[in-house]
Amino acid sequence: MTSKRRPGVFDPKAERVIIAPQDSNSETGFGARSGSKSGAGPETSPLFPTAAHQSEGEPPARRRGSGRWLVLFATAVVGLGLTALFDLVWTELQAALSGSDLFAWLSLAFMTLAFFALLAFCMSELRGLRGLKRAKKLKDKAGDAKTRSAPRKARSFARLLINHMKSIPETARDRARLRDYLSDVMDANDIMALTEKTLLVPRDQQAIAIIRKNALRASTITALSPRAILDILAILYLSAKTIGDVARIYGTRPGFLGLCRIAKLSIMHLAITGAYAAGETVLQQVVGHGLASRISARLGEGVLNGLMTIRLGLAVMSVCRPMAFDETTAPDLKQVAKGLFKTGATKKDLG
Amino acid sequence: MPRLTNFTDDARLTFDALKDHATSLTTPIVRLGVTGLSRAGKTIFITALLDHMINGGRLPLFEPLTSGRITRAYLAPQPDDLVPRFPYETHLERLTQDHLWPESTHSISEMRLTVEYESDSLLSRLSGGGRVHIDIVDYPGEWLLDLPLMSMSYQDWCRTADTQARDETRRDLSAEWLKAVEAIDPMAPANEALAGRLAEIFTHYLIACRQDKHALSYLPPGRFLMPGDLAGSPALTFTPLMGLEGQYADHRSMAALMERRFEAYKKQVIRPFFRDHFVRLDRQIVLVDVLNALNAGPGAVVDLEQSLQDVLTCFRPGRTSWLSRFLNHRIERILFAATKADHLHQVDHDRLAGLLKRLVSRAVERAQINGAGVDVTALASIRATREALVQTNGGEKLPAIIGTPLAGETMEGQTFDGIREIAVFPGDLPDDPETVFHVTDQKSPQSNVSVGAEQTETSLDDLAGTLRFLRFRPVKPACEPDGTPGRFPHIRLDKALQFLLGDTFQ
Repeated sequence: MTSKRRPGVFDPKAERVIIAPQDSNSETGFGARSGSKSGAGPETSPLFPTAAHQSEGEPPARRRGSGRWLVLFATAVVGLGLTALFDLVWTELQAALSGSDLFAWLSLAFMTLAFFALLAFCMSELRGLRGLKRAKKLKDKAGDAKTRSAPRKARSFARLLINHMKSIPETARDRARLRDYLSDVMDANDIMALTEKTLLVPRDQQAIAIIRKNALRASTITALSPRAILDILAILYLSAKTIGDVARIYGTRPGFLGLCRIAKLSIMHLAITGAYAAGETVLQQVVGHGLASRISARLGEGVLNGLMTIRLGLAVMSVCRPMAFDETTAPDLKQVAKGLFKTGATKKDLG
Repeated sequence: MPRLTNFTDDARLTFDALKDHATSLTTPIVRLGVTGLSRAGKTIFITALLDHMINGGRLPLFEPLTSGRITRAYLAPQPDDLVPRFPYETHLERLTQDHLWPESTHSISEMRLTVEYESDSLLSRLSGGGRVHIDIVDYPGEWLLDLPLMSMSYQDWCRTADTQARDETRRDLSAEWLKAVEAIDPMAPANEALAGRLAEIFTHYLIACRQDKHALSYLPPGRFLMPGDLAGSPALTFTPLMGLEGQYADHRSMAALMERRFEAYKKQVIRPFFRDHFVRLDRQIVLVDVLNALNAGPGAVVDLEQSLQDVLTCFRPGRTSWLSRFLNHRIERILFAATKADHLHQVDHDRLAGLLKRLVSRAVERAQINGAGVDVTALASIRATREALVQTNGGEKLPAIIGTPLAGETMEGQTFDGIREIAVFPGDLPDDPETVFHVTDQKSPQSNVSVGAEQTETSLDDLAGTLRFLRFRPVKPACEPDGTPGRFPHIRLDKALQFLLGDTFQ
């Protein structure tokens, strides 16, 4: 039997009584654990851990090969470029300081502007990547809280998610509501369910609407475009747009690099889940495609492209969503495609 | 299972059910049975439920309300003209103005809550509907103890009462009554004055058992403790007698008189109460005050277990089919709830629920076998405390609660005045619920081994000294930002409602 703690009475005004009801738990921490344990593995999507291991584990191995020389070369070239730039700035500065040349001042100003713009761009890219990393961390945390069903972890996850969603002003009301409710709900599973329902379910619906819209565009453009190259470009553009839009809906603002990263993860996700989904959906796709292509080859292409866009969108959703879907609530291709060719939806979505 | 209704009752119930069904074609009726022994928190549960439903309270996990599908909820006129209305406004005023708990319930009352909602599914939205009546009955918890008597004969009852009175936990309390009963001859001619006096002594004994120090719960007949409208009635002048085994009682004897009264009590008092308010329940919540029993020690816990098991065998849980709705009404969902969870820090809530699960294990099993939905939880209908961490001088961090104890509560030699706020660490509940029960077993003379005896001493001490639950005054609910009075805070009331009623608003 563990050593028994005796009951006691204390004065709440005394310093040793910590009153902040919920935060006290996380701060005084019975072990403030970061997501270092990989026990969360089975709950989270199989995708993230592998991606993380790749990005952390493989590059060093590659660098040790002949790539080392390539890196050296790249460094030298960048150094050369920087020197040339510095030289240019230096001469302009000297010219400006000598006081005679107005153009020198002007070019110097433009150069400063260019420098700051570049800096800002880099920062936004970095922020985008960090946002992605944060989403992944959130997902791990959510899995952890779910498997261990620890109320403290669930609450801290909910607070992190509220912070994460701050980039989307429309969620202000939901965030306030969730924050308000957090102290009322006691059990870990309930907290997680409430968080998902309050913050993420409305987002899911938005994401589905956007995917649907882009899918509709993709099929329309494919069906109407006069040349194949045009619709390839359009599809590329729409895919990028879908990725960006869906990611933004879930609170990450990916820059260009972030976009590429999500695209990569999504395609990997498709590759993994595709095998499972094949039996169910590919058949329908092919049949649908076949039927449509009987009427017109272009129409068939359009339907197929639309369905592919939906699949991509769903993959992006499961990559960017800060909580893994419960099996019951995850939207599938059928569900999204169902609303696609309804007349009501079409009119509104095309507008 | 004891049979608690006779043929005419059944016919009447079936007729009522048909009548209900006819009316419920327009507006369905859900009967929510709030079951619990006295002081388990029935009245407070009902008041909190009504307050949250009518005024749109904070129930994040009660989906129909949070999602905004419930448009309006109000108290409808009383369905039954002979039963008083539940004094919701009085209770609420007492809670909000005086910050006191409602007084214990003296008689039965009833209310009908009508909820207007919009359904989730298109089909039922089109078919109109969107309205449901929820009927709830409030009654003194003592009366519930009568239900097990229904299946007992007078002889059975005498035997049970006798064994119980000689039990270790009650020996001191029952001494006077035992002496008085043993002194008389049951076969002597009936004497009305003597019968009255015996009943009085018996009542005193029952009341003494109920005090906080002992907190015993198995104390039938319930009307002796809370007579309601029967106060002073001759129907209550009876008591168990002894030495009836194998004797023939002349119809003018004391024993015959007592038996007649007992049978009359069963027929006139218990049966109508049970038939009118308990047989046709759709949903049931069983509220149990585990903490009070824990305060008093293992004897009280075992006693609580016994009375709960006995009472709960009187209910019929099970899946409802369309036919059984008329012929053999069953309770579809039962929630067992350990109330006053706010007297503990939330780290102990799971253990409290575990303890309750052990207490009502037989009832849970029976309900599950019959296909009813069952859940066990710890809740507080109105939360009277906040949580905190206390750092002791030893550097230990104790999960404590902060609140204002009721005037007159005592702990560690301090008596509280009902005004001062304190922080309390009530002790850790045991991880294994069995430890709470087994202490009495070890104490029995069989385990006379020296080592065992020593262990018994410590574990008894352990349990007695490591748990102390104070009663707290209700707090003033915080105001909403717009100045309107806020709703009472609670613990898991929303989850309980979702389990009990969530699907009626589908």
